Amino acid sequence: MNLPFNDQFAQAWEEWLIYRKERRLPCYKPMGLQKTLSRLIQLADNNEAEAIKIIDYSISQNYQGLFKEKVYGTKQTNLRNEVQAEFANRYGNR
Amino acid sequence: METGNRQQISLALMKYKTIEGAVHFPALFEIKTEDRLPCLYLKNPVRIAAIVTAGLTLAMEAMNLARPMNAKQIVNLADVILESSGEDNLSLEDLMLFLQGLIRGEYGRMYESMDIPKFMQMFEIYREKRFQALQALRDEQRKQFDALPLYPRLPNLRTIIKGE
Repeated sequence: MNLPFNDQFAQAWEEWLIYRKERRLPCYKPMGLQKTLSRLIQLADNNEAEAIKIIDYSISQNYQGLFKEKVYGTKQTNLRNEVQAEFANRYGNR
Repeated sequence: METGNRQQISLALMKYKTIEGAVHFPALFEIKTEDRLPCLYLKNPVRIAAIVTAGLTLAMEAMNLARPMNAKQIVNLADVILESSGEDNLSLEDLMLFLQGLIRGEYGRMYESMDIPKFMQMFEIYREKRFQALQALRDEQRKQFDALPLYPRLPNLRTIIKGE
């Protein structure tokens, strides 16, 4: 199976598979494995460091699947940033 | 206010509230015309629009709505408020006090969404209350004025001193 990114990611991915084995979770089937990897890349916005972070976080939380850490307050920050952008768009950076 | 510090805004609004927490309109009417939204908007439209927009954004963040207003709608709403502020010479404090009441559910519960017409409808309730308070104050002032005697109550001071 072709893994994306570099060795560091390959190592993290290997850790994930070992973790699952240790927890006696069902082994991935080829299709499942491919989809999990695709989903991880999507969750990480195609960013290696982010993908490794997701794997580490999921193992540390004893999750059965891969999940991104929720950062609370981003919704509000997003609205503020969007409003600022819209305001600048309308009035210019005066 | 542009930086969006809720505590500072609350502290600044304290002097426009009664001990019970209701809006103390007479204190609001003491704000000078040049410090009110229409005048401020004429002097520095971008800055005042930024402050109003920041206030609205803070309020929208505080409300837990399924479909909140988006950035474009918030900036538009700030424009609508500023354009209509001349109708009753609103102050920034008026708007902030209304937003505080809106967050606290004083104008009814909002579950679903917020948009410009809905916001303006609720703002109208505040403005009507404000108008009623202003009218009551004017009526009282008129009554006090009418009660004044037609001629000076005391003889001319010079006459008293001279003993004439």
